[in-house]
Amino acid sequence: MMLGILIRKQLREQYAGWFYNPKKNKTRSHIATFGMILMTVVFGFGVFGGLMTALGLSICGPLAMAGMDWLYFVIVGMIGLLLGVVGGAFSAYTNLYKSKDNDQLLSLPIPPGDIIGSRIISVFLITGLFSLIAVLPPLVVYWITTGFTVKKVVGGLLFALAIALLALVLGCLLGLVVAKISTKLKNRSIITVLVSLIVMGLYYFFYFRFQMLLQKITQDPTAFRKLEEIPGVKPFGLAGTGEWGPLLIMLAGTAALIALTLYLLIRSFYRIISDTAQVVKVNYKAKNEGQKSVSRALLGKELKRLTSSPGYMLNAALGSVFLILAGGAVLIKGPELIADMRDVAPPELDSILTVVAAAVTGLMAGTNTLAAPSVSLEGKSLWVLRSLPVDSWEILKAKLNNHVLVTGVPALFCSLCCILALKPDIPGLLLILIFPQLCILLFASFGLMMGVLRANLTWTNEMVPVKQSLAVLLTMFGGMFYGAALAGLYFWIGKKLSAVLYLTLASVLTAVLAGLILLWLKKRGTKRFEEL
Amino acid sequence: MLRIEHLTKKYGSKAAVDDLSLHIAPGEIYGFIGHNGAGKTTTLRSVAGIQQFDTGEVFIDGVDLKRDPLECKRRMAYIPDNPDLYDYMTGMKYLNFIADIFGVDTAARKERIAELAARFELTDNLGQPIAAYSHGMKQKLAVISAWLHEPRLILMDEPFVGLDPKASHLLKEMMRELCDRGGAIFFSTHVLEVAEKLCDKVAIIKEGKLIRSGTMEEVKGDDSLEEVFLELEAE
Repeated sequence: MMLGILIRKQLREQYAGWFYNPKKNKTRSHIATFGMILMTVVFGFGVFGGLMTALGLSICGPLAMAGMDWLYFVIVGMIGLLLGVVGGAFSAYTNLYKSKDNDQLLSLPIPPGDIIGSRIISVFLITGLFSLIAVLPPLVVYWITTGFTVKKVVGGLLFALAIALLALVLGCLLGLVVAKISTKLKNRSIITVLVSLIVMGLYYFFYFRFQMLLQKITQDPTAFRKLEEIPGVKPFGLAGTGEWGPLLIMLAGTAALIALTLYLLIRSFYRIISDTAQVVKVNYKAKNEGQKSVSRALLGKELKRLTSSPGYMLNAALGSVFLILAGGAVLIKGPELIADMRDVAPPELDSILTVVAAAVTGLMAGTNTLAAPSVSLEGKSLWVLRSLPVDSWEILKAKLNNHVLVTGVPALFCSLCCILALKPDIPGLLLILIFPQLCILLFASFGLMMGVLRANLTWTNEMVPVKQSLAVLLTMFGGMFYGAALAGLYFWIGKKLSAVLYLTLASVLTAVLAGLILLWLKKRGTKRFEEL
Repeated sequence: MLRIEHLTKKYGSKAAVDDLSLHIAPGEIYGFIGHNGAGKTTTLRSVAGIQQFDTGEVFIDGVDLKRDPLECKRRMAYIPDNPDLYDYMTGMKYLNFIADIFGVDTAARKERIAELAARFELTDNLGQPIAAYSHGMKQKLAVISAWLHEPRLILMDEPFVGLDPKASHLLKEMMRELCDRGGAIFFSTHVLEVAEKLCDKVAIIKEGKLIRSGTMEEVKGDDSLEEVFLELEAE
């Protein structure tokens, strides 16, 4: 009963944007709500589901032919688990422990178990969704490839559910570990980011290993038959094929793990909430604080907002880490790789590599979504900015600059590494330097436009604007669409031009689009911001 | 100092503030009284330039709020009823941020922060994140930040809620000091005793309309403010 009320509250808050238009103070029409849900489903299932379908199609046939259906489900299940854990890892801690309504809920006669239960549901809606998107498409591929039977369908669906629940358990346990660590340490934000980055690093390590493994599996599946000797591996996979014995063991094990996780979370909930609310008292020592200009003060505020929140950093600024890692990798491995390629590649290799370097750096920078949630993140403290003698454009510009700075500097580093490795001619050098920066400007201004148009100032958990908001979704969707459109245009008409000329034209287009959006932000965006 | 002419703000078809006019002269502490939802906060937020209003005019020190909102905001400060400040900053960082926006130079801000923080006994806490502050401490910080750039007009929404008696007393002193220097204060309150003792003038608002305003004597005559207020509310 109580749990139901809390879950409804949680869902209303998390998905309010689908059903309610805060600007018009009205419930959305059924068509608008349907459109938003459809867009989310298309985005989620269309992009990630499409990738998983392709994976299923590439390995299901060979494995089924070799009578190794179990290995297919081991692979699919592991991907589902990894995707679910990584997808939810960055938000589990914040979702479980960092809500603004902690005090309010604890003051009410609600058992901690119900509070944590309702929050687990909101974690499940992320981890579970990621897992199901990873598992369901290959499951359908399996049914189509090997034929439908009741046993396969029911067993497969239960297997998918078990994977989603296991991902939830792992996500929650990770959240608990982060919470336990963070209560003992001073620099909680940085520690949380580091722990999460380590988890992500492990994910990518296994992911790349997995890619190599998949190649070998499609070439010779029987070589992997010996994997069944590892205890638990074959039964895990057999559960996906609908074998009742292994499936029941898996379901029972999952239920036991859920019970254990619930016990651990409930037992520690009150203590963690109380501990995280405590701050070691630091007596203020007078320091000389120099006077800053308005724009620097506003930018400083945005940077402080970012660095104070692990969830914001991990979800909106991860592209910066990728850019630095990619730059380092290019610098270390690039020259050797390029030298090897030059021996066998066509003469236009250099110009192709220049275009690839510029495009990949630009699109990698596009994964950062700092500007999109920045308006919503003002939340109830928006009155501070609105009451100050600052032009709204200055405020929006600070949010843009924050995005451009945090993304632009790592992108510049990556570009310089590419230049050192490729040693391109002057036009190529300019392209590698300028195209990514133009992409950053476009994605930042587009994100901010979405942030202004779809602002949500009434959240109680900052993960709602950072991760689950329509503004962020539309920004990511827009970035992907733009990347795909540029690639599609290249294959359609760009091939007739040289790669460098095509990317030069793409740079001009990107600059024009960014300019138009900036103009909108300055004229109409500021008005919309003032109406919030 | 503050001239509000025919201010109207509607939410949908309902007028939260309806054709409200009010003049506040330099040196005046002006109290704003009304039941919950009467339109006090909407009026204050509109005058502070936080919320857009539908019709009417607001002049701060002769400057039209609609024509030059930034100049108006430079001359005033606003303290909301619930000071949601930047939890991720320390108290000191927040004060420096506000000082930067108002262009308070390094020497002046250092002196004013030291003096105001000492008066509110908040100096030791300025290194703490605002997230760790109690409601009262946040309120004190909001008051310090409002006084930091020495505004001519201060708007306050229920400023005494959450303050301990000592801090309340100090705030009243500071309000009077500011008005003695030629500034003005416009604040809402539910504590009628405070309004009666502190205010030079008072305005009573009901369902968005100004129903009575003037000097304390004009408004209450020989009765207590509470009696007048309850009588007007019953009408």
